[in-house]
Amino acid sequence: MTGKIYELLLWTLPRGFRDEFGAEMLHTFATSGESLIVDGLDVLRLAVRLRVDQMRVDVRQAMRGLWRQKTFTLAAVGTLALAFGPATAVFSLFNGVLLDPLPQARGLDRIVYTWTANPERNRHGYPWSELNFLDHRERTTGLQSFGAIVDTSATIGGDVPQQVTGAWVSEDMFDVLGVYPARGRRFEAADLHTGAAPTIILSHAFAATRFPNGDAVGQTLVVDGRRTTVIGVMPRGFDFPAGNANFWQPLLVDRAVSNRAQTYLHTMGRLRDGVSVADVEQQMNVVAADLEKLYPDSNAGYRIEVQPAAAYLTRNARRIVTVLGLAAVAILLLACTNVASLLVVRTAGRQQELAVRTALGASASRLSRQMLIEHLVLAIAAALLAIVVAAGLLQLLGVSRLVPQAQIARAAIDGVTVLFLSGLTLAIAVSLGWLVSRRAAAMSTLMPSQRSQSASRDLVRLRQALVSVEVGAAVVLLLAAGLLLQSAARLLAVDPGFRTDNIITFQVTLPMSSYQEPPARVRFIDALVAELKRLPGVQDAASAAYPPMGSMRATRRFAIDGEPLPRPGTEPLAIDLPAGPGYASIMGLRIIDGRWIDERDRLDSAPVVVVSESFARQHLPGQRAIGRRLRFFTSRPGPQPPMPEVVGVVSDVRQFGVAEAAAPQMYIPHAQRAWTFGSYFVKTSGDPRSVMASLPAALKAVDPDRPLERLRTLDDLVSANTADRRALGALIALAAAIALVIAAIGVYGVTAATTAARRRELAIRAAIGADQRKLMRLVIGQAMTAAGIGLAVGVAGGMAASSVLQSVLFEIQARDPATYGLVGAGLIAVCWLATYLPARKAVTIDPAVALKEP
Amino acid sequence: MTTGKRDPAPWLPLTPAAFHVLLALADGPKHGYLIMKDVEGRTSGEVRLGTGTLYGLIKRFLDEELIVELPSEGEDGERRRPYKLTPFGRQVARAEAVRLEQLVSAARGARLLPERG
Repeated sequence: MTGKIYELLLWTLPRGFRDEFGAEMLHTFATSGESLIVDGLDVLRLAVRLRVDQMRVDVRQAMRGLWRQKTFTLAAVGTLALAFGPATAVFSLFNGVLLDPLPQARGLDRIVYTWTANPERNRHGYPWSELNFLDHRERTTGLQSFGAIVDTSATIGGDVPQQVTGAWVSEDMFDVLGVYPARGRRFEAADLHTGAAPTIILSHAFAATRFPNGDAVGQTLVVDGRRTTVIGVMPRGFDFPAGNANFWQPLLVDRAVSNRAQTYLHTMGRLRDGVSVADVEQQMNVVAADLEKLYPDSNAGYRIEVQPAAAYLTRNARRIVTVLGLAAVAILLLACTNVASLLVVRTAGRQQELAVRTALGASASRLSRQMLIEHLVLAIAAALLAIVVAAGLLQLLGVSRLVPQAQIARAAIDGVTVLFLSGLTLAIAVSLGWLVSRRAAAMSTLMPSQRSQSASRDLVRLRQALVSVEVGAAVVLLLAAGLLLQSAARLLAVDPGFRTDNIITFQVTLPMSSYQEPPARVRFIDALVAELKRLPGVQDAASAAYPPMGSMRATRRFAIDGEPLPRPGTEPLAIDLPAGPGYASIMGLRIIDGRWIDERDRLDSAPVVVVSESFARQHLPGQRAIGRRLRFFTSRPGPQPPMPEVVGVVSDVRQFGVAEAAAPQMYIPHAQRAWTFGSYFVKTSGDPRSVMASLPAALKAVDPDRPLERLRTLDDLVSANTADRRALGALIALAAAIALVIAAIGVYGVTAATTAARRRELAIRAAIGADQRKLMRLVIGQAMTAAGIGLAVGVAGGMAASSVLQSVLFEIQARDPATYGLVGAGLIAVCWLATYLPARKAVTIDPAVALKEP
Repeated sequence: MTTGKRDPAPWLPLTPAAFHVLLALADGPKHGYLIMKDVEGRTSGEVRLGTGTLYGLIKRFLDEELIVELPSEGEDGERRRPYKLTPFGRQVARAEAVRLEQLVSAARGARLLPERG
C-alpha cells in the first residue's frame, strides 16, 4: 500500500526526471523501509524545486525570445494592454459604484427611497412635504426608521466666508443609514425644537480642514450668521447624500406654519426585519389614502412609491457602465483575436525551429508549455500596462463628466479589480496558448514537404475565422458609435431657447437670520444688480431665482381664473421662475405679446406674471393670454396668494436641459417673489472672463458676508449639460475607429496570406490562360466571405444590444436602418479595398517566377 | 566529457547532504540504496537521506559531471544503477573537506575545541 502511494507521489515529479529515476527511486524506497510520510514529503519538496527551476528556465527563455522579436512583442503587449485596460476600468466602475453604491451604509439592501407620486397626472418620483413626512413616520409600522434629508448649503464664517454644501437631516436619518458620528454625538430630539441652540455635525474632511490642530467636537462655528456648536464628526469618507456633503444640521419643522403642499424633502427608510418593499409600499399607500381624505387640497390623488436605495443610487451609472461594458467586451475580443493572429503567424514562422527542437528530443507537451509561458509573460506585461491604461480611462471618465467625480473616486483599482485582471490575464494567456500550441504541436509532427501546404491552408482558415470575429466586433462598435454621434449631434442642434454668448452667471444665498423678510431680500437683489451694471465691461445685468439647466427645479400648481377649477390633485403645473427686469433681453427671449417684467413691478404694486409660449398654447388655446389672471393654491392657513395678471408672453426655453422639451413656464417679478437664494446674469461687451475678477468686489459692496457661488459663463453651463453625451459619443467613436483599422488590417493580412498560400495554384491558372479578373474574384471572394460572416454576426450583436443603447440615445432609434445601412456599406467598402490591394498584387505576378518557388 | 581544468570553488560550500553523497562514493561506486545506507551508517543514523533529496542530488551531480552512471547490474537492471565519482567530483569533495578542516582548526585556535593530540 505504501509502495502504491509512493508511486503516486512520483507522478508529481517532471516527466523527464520520473522516466530517468522513477523505477530506481521506487526500488530504493521499498528496500530502505523509510517512513512514507518523511520520504513522501521529501519527494514533494524535490518536485516543487524541480518545477520551479524548470519554470525559471522557461521564463528566461521566453523573455529572451520575446526580446529578440521586439516589434512583435511590443505590438502584442500594446494591443493586449489596450484590451485589458478598458475591461479593467469598467470592472472597477462596476465594483466600486454599482455593487456597493453606498459603502458606509449598513445593510443597504434594507434601505429604501420613498417618493410621492400622482399616477393620474403621470407624476412620479416627487419629494415630500414636512407634514406628510411626519404623519407617515408616525403611522408606517413596516419601517424601523424613516428619515428625511435635504441638500442645502450654508455660509461658514471665518476670515474668508465659505459657502459649503451640506444637508438638513431629521434625527433618525442616521438610523436609516446605519452610520453614526465617529466622534461626538448624533442629533437628539432636543436639538430639533425650533428654539434649540444651533448644532452641526461635520464631515471628517471638513472638520480636518477647519480644525487641523484639535478635535472639532465642542468647537463653535458661525453658520449663516449664527454661532453653532459642533456636536459630532462623521466617519472618514461619509459624504451622503450628494457625495459632497460637508455638514449636517437638524431639519427643523414647525407644524404650526408648515405648508403641506410645499414639497422638497427626500425621504428614506429602513425596512423592519421580514418586511418587503411591496409590504411597506402598500402600508404607506393606506396612510396616503387617509391623508388624502383629511387634506384634499394638498393631498388629492397622491400616492407613495418605494424603491430600493441601491437601484435609485445607481440609476445613471448603470446605463453608462452597461454601454461602456459592451464597448470594452468588443475591444477585448478584437484585440485578443488580433494578438492571436499575430501569434499564429509567428508560430508559422518558427516551423523550422520547432522541427529542430522536436528532433533534439523536446516533447510536444514541453513545446506547448514553453509557448504557454511565453504567452503568460506577454499577458502579464500587458496586464501591468493595463493598470495604467485603466487608471487613465477612469480619470478621463471623471473629467468628461460621464460619471460623477464622487463615484469615480470610489472606482479605484483595488484588490478585487486586480483579482479580476489576474483572472482575465490568465484566461486570455491560456486561450491563446491553447490555440497556438495546437498549431505548433501539429506542425512539429509534419514532414517538411507536408508542412508548407497543409499548414499554410490550416493557417489561412484559422486566420479567416479570426478576421470574422474582428469584423464582427468592429461592426458592433461602429454601430454604437454611429448612433451615439448622431445622438450627440441632434442634442447639440437643439436650440435651448436662450442666448449664451458673453453671459456670466453666479449664485448668492441669503441666510434667513438677516433676510427673513421679503423687503430685505428685494433690497439686496436691487442693490446687487445696480452694482453689477456699474462694473466696467458690463452691458447689462439681471436677476432670476435660478439659472437654466441647473439642478434646481421649481414648479407650482395653478389654475386659470374664470375657468372651472380643476379637481384637487389634477391641477396643472408650470415652471415657477421668479425673474427681474433685463432677464428677458439678456437671455434673448422674444416678446411675443405684451411686455416683460420691468421697474413698475414692485412688492407693493399690482401682482403680474409673464408666461411662456407653450404655457399660452396649452392652457389658453385660441385665446389671448394678456389680461387673464392665474390662481395659485396653498394649503397653508391664512389669506390666499395674490392672483397675478398675465402681462406678457415670451418665447419658450428649455429650462431643464436640451434633452427635455420646453415646458410651460411662469415668470413672476423677482421683486414680488424673492427667495433666499438667487442667480445673477451679467452680459459683458467683451470676453466674460475679464469681468469675472471684479464680481466679488461688487457683491462685497452690498453685503461683505456673502460669498459668490457657482460662478461660470452660460456657455460653460450649457455645454456641461450635454457634456456626458458628447463624451460617450467621442469615446465610443474612438474605439470604433481603432476597431475599423484593426479589422481592415486583419482583412488585408488574411487576403495576403490566402494569396501567398495559393501562389502556385494562381500561377498555374494564369499560365494556362485564366482571366485575371476571374482570379481576382476568386481571391477576393474568399476574404470577403470571412468579412461577410463577421458583418452578419456584428449586425446581430448590434440588434441584441439595441435595448441597452436606447437608454442613452437622443431622438434616434437604436435600430435606425440608415445607420445600419451606412455602417454595413462602409465596412464592406473598407474590407473590399483591403482585399483588392493584395489580390491585385498576387494575380499580376509573373507565373514563371511563382512556379519556380519551392 | 568536458575538457579543460574546472574549478571546484563555485561548488563550495556543499550542503551536508551533498557532501555525504560524495563521501559515500569516495571509496567506490554504489547504487542509490547503498549510498543511503552508507550515509546512515557513517553518521550513526543522525543523517538520513530521503529518496527525493538523494536523487535530486544524483541528477544534479550527473548533469554537472561530478559523478557518472555505470552500466546497471543484475536482474534488477534499471532499478540498481551504480554511480561513480569522476576526478572532478573527487576534487570537489576534497575541496569541501579541506574547507571543513580549516574551520575546525580555527575552532581549535579559538579554544572552542580541544587541541589535537
